[in-house]
Amino acid sequence: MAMNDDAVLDRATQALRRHTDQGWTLVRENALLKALSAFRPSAPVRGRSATPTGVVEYFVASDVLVTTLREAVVAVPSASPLTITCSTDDHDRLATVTIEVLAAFDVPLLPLASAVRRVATSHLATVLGDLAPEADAVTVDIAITDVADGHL
Amino acid sequence: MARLPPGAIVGQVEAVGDGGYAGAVSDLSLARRAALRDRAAFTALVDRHGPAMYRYVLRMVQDPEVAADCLQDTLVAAWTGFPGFRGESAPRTWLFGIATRQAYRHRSHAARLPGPLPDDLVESASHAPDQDAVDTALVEALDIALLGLPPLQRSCWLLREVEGLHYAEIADILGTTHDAVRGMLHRARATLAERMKGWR
Repeated sequence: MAMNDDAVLDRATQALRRHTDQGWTLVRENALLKALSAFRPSAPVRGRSATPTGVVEYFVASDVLVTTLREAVVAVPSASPLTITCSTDDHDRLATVTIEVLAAFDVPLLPLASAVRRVATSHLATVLGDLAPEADAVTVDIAITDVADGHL
Repeated sequence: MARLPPGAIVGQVEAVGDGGYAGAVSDLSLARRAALRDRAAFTALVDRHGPAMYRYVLRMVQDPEVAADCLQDTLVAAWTGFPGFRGESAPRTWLFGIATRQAYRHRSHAARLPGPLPDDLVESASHAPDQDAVDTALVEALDIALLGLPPLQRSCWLLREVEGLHYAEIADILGTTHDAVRGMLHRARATLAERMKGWR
């Protein structure tokens, strides 16, 4: 069946939209691995722990701290972390942590915020030891930006 | 930097799977999780938009090897840049913006290298046996026609007609105006229609 110029271009365009190049399947794995192993610049956060051989001071990359905090908060039922922001003082000590959380529909928010704060402070104490901030330095902002009945 | 405490994770590379996100989670949610170093979320986002980004950069740089390098650099830039992503544009638009910058960077580099015209621009895609042969041939013809467009017009046309971005998003990505995008699209369509005339 003959097609006019516009119809030919339209059909070719639709075909291209559906088209997946074989090259994508060849490059996907390597490209992802390269990306995920790339270095993300990250500020240091100071930690201090007592060990059998004495007190040890160390630094944790803030990116790593945020990653592990996210993993801890994800474990809280009905909450999903949206953003996690850390700030340090002039001595690289963690000063504040702000966690913005997406809450599931119909979940009481204050108990949820308390649970997130509790998990966060416990995790910070594990990672940063004596230099973890006090519980009141962990701000938990609850943001209801969507409604989710099931999986967040 | 001194020792890290037990359990701290540095430079971990996990298996590249879909992370179980499938299609239920929005792009924005995946982007936010990727910003928090969630590798599975980043992988899910890449699997969602990677084929389209590859399709786009391949037609911009006209060489599968250069396209692979370009896409890899795009993903590296996206992963390292996600902490700075503020959601001012859709994640898909943001990713295509990075892909466009990388495509232009790789194009200018490749232009300095001698080499034959890319006969293999159109790859032998893995078509199902029953796929319409006419569509396959049309894609090949369209790819050849696209070679005749100036890069900016090609970007405009691909981003609008194939990837479905809005005029404003394209203008933002290309650093130009809404009207300029409209003009380039008009010229690109006319040129492509003319070059596809042999098909009836």
